[in-house]
Amino acid sequence: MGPAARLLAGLALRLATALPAVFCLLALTFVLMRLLPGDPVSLMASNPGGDAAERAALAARLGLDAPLAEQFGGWLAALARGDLGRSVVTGQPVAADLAARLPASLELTLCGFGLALAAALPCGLWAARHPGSAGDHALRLLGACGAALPGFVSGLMLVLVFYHGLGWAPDPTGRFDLFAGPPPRVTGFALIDTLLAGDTAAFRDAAARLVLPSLTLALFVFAPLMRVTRGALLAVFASDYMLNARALGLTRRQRLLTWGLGNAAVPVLMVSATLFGALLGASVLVETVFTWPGVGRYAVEALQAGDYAAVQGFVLLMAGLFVLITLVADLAALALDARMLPA
Amino acid sequence: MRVRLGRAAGAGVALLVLLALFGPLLAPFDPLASGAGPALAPPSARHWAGTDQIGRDVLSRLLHAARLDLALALGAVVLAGGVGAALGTASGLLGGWPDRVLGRLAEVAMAFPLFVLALALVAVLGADGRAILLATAAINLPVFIRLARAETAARREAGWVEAARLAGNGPWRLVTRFLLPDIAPLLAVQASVTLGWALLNAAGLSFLGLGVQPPTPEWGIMVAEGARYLAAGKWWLTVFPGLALGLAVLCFTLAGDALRDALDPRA
Repeated sequence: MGPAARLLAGLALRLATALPAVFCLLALTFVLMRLLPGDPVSLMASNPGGDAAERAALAARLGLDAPLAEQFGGWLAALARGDLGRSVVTGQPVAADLAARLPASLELTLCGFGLALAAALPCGLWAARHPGSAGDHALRLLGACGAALPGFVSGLMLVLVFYHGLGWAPDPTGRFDLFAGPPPRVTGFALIDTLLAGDTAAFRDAAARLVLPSLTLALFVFAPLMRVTRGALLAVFASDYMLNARALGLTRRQRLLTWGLGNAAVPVLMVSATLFGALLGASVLVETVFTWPGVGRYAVEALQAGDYAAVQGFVLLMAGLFVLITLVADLAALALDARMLPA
Repeated sequence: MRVRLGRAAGAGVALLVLLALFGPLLAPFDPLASGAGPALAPPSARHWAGTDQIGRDVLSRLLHAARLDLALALGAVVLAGGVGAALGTASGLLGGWPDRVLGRLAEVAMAFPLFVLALALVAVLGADGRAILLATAAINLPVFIRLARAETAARREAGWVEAARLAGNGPWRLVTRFLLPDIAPLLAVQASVTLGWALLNAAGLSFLGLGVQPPTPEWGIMVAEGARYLAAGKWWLTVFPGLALGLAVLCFTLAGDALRDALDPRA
C-alpha cells in the first residue's frame, strides 16, 4: 500500500472504533430525555388528571405509545435528517438556533486555545531546557494557579481589574457594541465579518471584546498544555536519536528543528484534542460571565427554562464536535508519525 | 522546592478539612441572618470579609460554605472511587470482551467534554445538592474505572497473585485482600486530584443556578450573587468566595501531585 492508502485505512480504523462510542452517547442522550421530569402528554392534555382516552390519543399522535426501541429508531431517523426538535423558549427549530450561535462559541474557543498554545509552547520548551530550575518551578506553580481558578471566577476577576479597575477592556456585554450592532452576517465569525464589511473600527471593537473571555479560557488550559510540551520535549532530549544528531555535529537549533519538534508534536497534539473538548465544556461558564451569545449560554438558558429539546441538541452538538476534533487530531498524528499507521 | 510545595499543599488540605469540620463554630455571625451589619459594607474590623446585599456577614457564609462544598466534592469522589474501583477491578480480573468494551467506553467517556454531561444529568435529577453530588460522581467515574482496570490487569498474571490464587483464595478474597490493598495508594492519588475537579464542578453547577439554591451559603452561588454588584465596585462579594474556591482546588491538586511523586518517583 502507498502512504496515502495507508493513511485512509488508518483513518477508517479510527472512525470504526469511534462509532460505537457515538452510538452509546446517542442512546444515553435519548434515555436521559425520557427520564426528564415533565411528561409531554400531561402538558398537552386538556385537564391535568386526564381522561384516559384523550391521553391515549395524544400519546399515539406523539408516537409515545410505540415500543421504546421503535421510538429510538424514529428519533435517530429524525436526527439523520437534521431535525433536533423545536425549542420551547425561542420557538425556532433547535438546529437553526444552534447554527446561529455556534460561530460565536467557536470563535471564542479557537481564540482562547490559540492564545494558550502561543504561551504554553515556548514556556514548555524553556522549561524542558532548564528542568528543575527556579523558573521551571515558577511556571509549574503559575500554571497550577491558573488551572485551579474556575473560569467563572478568573473571568470575573479579569473584568474587575481590566474593565472596572483600569478601564482598558470594553464592557463584558457580548461580541459587538450595543449601539453599532453586528456587521452583515457572512460567516458568523465577528473578526471575519467586520473585515469583509470593511469596517476597521468594528473589527478593533470585536477583537477587543474577545480579549478577556479568550484569556479566561487560555488560563484554564495553559498548565496542562505546558506540562505535556515539557514532558514530550524532555523525553525527546533524552533519546538516542538526539544523541546521534549531536554526534553528527548538528547545532542545538538544527537538532531541535529537524528531529526534536516533530517527535514531540504527537503527544502535544493528542492532549490538545482532549483539552479543546474540555474547553468547549468550560466555555459554558465563560459565556455566562461575558454574556456571550454562544451555544453554551443558549444551553444554560434552556436548562433554566426546562427546554429539553434545546439541551439535548446542545449535548449532541458537543458530541459531534468532539468526534470531529478527535478525528482531525488522529489524522494529523497519523500524518506526523508513520509508525501509528496500520501495516 | 517540589517537596516544600507539596508540604505546603498538604498543610492547606489539613486546614481545609479543619475548617469544614469546625468552621461553622468559628463563624462570628449566623450565615443566613440578614442585618448582621449594614448592607454592602466593605471589609472592616467587625466584618472581615464585608457584608452582602442584605447585610449578611460574608466571612460567616464563607466558613459555612466550606463544609457544604467539601462535603459535596468528597461525597462525589468517594462514590465515584468506590464504584469505579469495584467495576474496574472486577473487569480487569475477569478479562475477555466485556472488559475490552468497558475499557474502551471509559476511555471515550474520559475525553468527552464531561461538564456538558453534568449539565444534562442535573437537568434530569433536579437542582439540589444530591443532584450535584450524583452528577459530579458520574462524570468522574470513568477515570477510576480506567485506573483500577489497568492496574488490576497489570497484576493479574503476577507471581504473588498466582500464589494467592493457588493458596485457595476465591475471586472475592483475591480482590479484597490482595489486589485492592495493592492498588489503594494509586486510587488515593487519583482521588486527591479528582477532589479539586469535583470542587470546580459542584461550584460551577451552582454558579449557573443549576445546583444548590440560595440562600444556602455555597461558594459558587456566592460568586454568582456577588457578580451582580461587581459593577458597583463591591469586589469583596466575588473575590473572597472565588479565592476560597481557587485556593481549595490548588491545595488538592498540588497535594495530589506531591503524593504521586512520593509514591512513584519515576513519573
